[in-house]
Amino acid sequence: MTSRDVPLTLVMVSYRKKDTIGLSIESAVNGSMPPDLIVVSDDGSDDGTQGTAEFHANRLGVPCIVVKHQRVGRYRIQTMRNTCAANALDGVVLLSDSDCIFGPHTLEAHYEIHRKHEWAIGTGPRFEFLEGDSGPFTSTFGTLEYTHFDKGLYCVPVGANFSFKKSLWKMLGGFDRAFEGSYGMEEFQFSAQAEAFGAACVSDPLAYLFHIPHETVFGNRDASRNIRVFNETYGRVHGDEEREYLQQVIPHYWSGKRKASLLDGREELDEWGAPKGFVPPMLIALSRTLRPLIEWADECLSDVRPESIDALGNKTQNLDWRRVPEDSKAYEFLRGLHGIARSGRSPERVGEMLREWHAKASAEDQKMPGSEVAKAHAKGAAS
Amino acid sequence: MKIAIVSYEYDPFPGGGIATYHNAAVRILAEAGHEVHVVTNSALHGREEEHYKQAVHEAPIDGPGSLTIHRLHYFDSSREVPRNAQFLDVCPDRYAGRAHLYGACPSNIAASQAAAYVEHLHRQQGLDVVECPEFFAEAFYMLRARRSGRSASFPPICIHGHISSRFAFSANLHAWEVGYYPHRQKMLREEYCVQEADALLTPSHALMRRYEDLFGAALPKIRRTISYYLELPPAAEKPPEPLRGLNYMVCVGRIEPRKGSDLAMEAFARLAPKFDDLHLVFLGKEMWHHGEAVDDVIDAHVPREYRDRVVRLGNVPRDEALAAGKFASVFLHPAPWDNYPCAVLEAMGVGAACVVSDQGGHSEMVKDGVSGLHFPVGDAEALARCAERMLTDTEFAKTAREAAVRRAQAITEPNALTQQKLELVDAMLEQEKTMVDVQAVQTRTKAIETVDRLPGGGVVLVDAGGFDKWTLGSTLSSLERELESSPNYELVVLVDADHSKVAELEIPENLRRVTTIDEPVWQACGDDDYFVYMHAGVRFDLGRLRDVVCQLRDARVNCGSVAWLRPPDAAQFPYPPDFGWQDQCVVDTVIPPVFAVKASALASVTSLSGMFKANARLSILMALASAENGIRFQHTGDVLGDTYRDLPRMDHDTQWRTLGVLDMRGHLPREWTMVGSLPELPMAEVATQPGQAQPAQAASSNGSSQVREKARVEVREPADYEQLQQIYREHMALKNHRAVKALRKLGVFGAVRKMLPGSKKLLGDG
Repeated sequence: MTSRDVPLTLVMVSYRKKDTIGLSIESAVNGSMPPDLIVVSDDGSDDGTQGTAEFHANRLGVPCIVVKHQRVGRYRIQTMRNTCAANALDGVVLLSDSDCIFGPHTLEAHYEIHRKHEWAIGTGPRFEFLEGDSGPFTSTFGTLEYTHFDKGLYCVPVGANFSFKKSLWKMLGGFDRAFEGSYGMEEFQFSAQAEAFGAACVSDPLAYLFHIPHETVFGNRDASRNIRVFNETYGRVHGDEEREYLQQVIPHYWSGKRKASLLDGREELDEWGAPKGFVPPMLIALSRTLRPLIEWADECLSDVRPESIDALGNKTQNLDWRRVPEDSKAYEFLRGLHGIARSGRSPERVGEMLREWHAKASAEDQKMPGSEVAKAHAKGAAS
Repeated sequence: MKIAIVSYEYDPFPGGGIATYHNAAVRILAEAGHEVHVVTNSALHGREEEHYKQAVHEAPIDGPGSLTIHRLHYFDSSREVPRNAQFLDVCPDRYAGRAHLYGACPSNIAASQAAAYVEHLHRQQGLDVVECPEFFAEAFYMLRARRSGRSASFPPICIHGHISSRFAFSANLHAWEVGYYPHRQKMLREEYCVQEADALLTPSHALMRRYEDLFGAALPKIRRTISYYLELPPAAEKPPEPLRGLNYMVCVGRIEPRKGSDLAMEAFARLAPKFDDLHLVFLGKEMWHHGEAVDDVIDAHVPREYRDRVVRLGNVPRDEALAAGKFASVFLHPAPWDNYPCAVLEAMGVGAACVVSDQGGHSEMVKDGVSGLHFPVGDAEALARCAERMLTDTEFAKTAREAAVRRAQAITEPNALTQQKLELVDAMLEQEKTMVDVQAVQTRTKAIETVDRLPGGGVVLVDAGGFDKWTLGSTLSSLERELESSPNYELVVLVDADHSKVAELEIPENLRRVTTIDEPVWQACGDDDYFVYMHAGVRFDLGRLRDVVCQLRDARVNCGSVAWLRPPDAAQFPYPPDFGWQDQCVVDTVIPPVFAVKASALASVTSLSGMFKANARLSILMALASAENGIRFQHTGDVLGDTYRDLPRMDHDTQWRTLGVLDMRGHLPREWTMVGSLPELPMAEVATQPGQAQPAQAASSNGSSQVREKARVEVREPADYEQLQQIYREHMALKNHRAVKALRKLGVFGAVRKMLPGSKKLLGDG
């Protein structure tokens, strides 16, 4: 137990997370600032999640409330979050999922955000383990890039790594339950409200956590309904705002600028602004090397058929192009590669074009500083 | 002292007396050495200064204290709440237009946000007292919290009476405003604030008397009458340009019935023939009744030949208004009743010759025959006589003007007023020592092992009728924790008299269970015990059942208590903060699945027989408690937990059963036959009238059918209509069964039903 004026509550929502919730609790308690209370809001798990949470909290000697909900047909994320916050202590609340492992300073970094800012939504990078539950790890979405940009926006905080003062939650009226039942925007709704109130969205590099990936993480879930509700409710156009924000964030990150943590000096971060063991995902790796694209071209060149050309086109198309600066070499070569794959020419002609692209890309890659990155990325991709 | 003033009526709000009072009071208190916080709205009202745009601003003051302004975004300059404003955990605008829901009403949003902010401020700063006007009810959710076991979350709250919306609307004969649904809720909230405050402060004895007449013993024990502060800017040297050189009488304030503007016109009509150069001047916004122009009012009261001597200048800067009063031959305030009009106080401050009616706070300011003149309220002839005296008796007018200045200075002497205020605060703090609930630890900073004890003793009855074991189980496990430290409470499960399904519920052996046939559990309770009824499926957040019970203990006005819960989805907007049986019985009203009352409130209900279905039991018990004890049900102003079943709704079946019981017990007026009979007005297709456009004929055949479709009588069936039909069919089939007929013929049907176990199921209910 820590002695702080303002208490810190770790709140976790869960559904069928028996295998991971113990790890989550243990990592939080073993960090530099253990929580004063843990609240788990479980949406009617039938796999023993509730008992497991209680067991580990007791074992580790941390006060814990497990709210045992009855399942009412669908996952009620906002209700779970509201229940968590309602049962939290009157202080800083860190909201997370029960399949996340906290870094050694995650809770303290969140606490520091709220010590420095009267009103804030705190967040940090969210990494995904690539092998088992210990690493190496990579990042998804833009959480790492966002973290190193000074100015926050409502779309920066992610629900698994989301902190606020309980009084802010009360003032905003809680998480809007109209976003339940459909994917996406649930936490952005809250942070948009918080911004309108005057709170800042603050991300700290040491407030990171690791998410134990499940199959939906790397997939593409349809958020269109909730984006529509969000746009209608707040009179905003989420897609445009996010794109404009990324246009500021990505060049900043690619230029190598990194933000210091509020807990500066506690932990050394690597050149990516991430802890040791980080494997940059392709969209970040491209800032240092074109190898990932060259490998895609190699793969297609090894067997140039309409199917492989189409597969290459799909791969380039499905990349989040917003995370590659338009004035970068990577963007230029990505656009070239995509154009070739979608040119509609014969396989023979596409093969010729690819070889030409390959030669130019390889030459350009030699000028870039990223051979190590390429290796790491290759290892990550293999995992 | 750390004092918070909570009101949207503060600089740069351009409105009337409340803002004028706040602007002066906060500065005087801060300059007297106090730490003053103002929690107000962020609307700019056309002002562009940077400090108005800051969320928190430290205002410069000339003295040892401090003045901090906190601006929250309740609504814009047009009093429009943002479309996305949240109230508790829903966004009210998703559910219905603003005329149909109180949720997005500016007053409700302001009160809800102010409560959350002041709670935070109190935790940070340790406020001594909050002062808030009754008008607009911004203290409502703070007071609800204090009266629901969360007294430690807020400092004691002083409600400052200015004028309630009901008084103001009624005085202006604004029938629409009084009847408009969100206003009706707001007026109730204002009246709640007046009654449940820790202290009531009014600037006039007139307003205090009105509240005492209305609410009597329900008012706070600490009541004071302390004048407004008066801060006069230097008056302009000359009146506004159009008035220079004129001999005129002036009325300052909105042109509206409650200011007596029409009476001033009548008096002027009597004086105009005698004084050829006399003018009547109005300064202020025109706010006459809907559909009636001020021109029409003047036409009605002032003969044509004098109308051009009635001058209306609208709103003018404050210094010009003061100058207009100072240089006027007579300053009129003929209001039928007014609380404590700043316009009169300020006019006295600049030495105006005041003639005021003998009702309301202005008659307390002006000493009749000394610092001005009184006339009997509503008497235009008397008003004219008084005005004439001021116009003709120059010696008296001169001494009255001088006396008015002295009088204004005497009653608004800032040190004396501050001293009186501090005495009031001291009394509140003294009272707080006896009132604060030592167990009010909702402001939790440490994890706790057990929940706080519920006050007193009583019974918690969980109605399991029609629910499954999972739903019941979640409620029982939640209550187990809620009641573990309250040995004076018994947890009882109510099950249907039909025992065949009870085993499926898997009720723990140690819990008492009763059926609808057994004597109701509240009958065995003491008079001071509390009774909590809830549907299975309710789960309280840790320790929040206590809020529901504490409200019964702490509210000054006898009430019932309900909980705002999170239902399975956000499809339905929950219930209002206050409602009685009359509101509850409206079809489609959402009914809270949990309520609490003092057990004695249900003393006359000796049986649950006939209360078929859990929803009907809930509705009937609430309606009876409300009707028989004259109480309203109040939610605690916070979300207290979850419910895993849809919120119960007043469908026709439930309504009919509830109305039936109310009628049988003599509460429902027998003349009320239409109440809730049809969801929509029946409409029949009618022939097109001569000369009318003929849409049905002009439209295509498809269009005609649409018109007919629209015109068709729409009668909505109850939600359980199919089930009722099925029960009826089964009943008739049994009745006509040969065996039943034979038993009836033999006269042993009743005996067989009683003797054979399960025969009820076989033979029906009889």
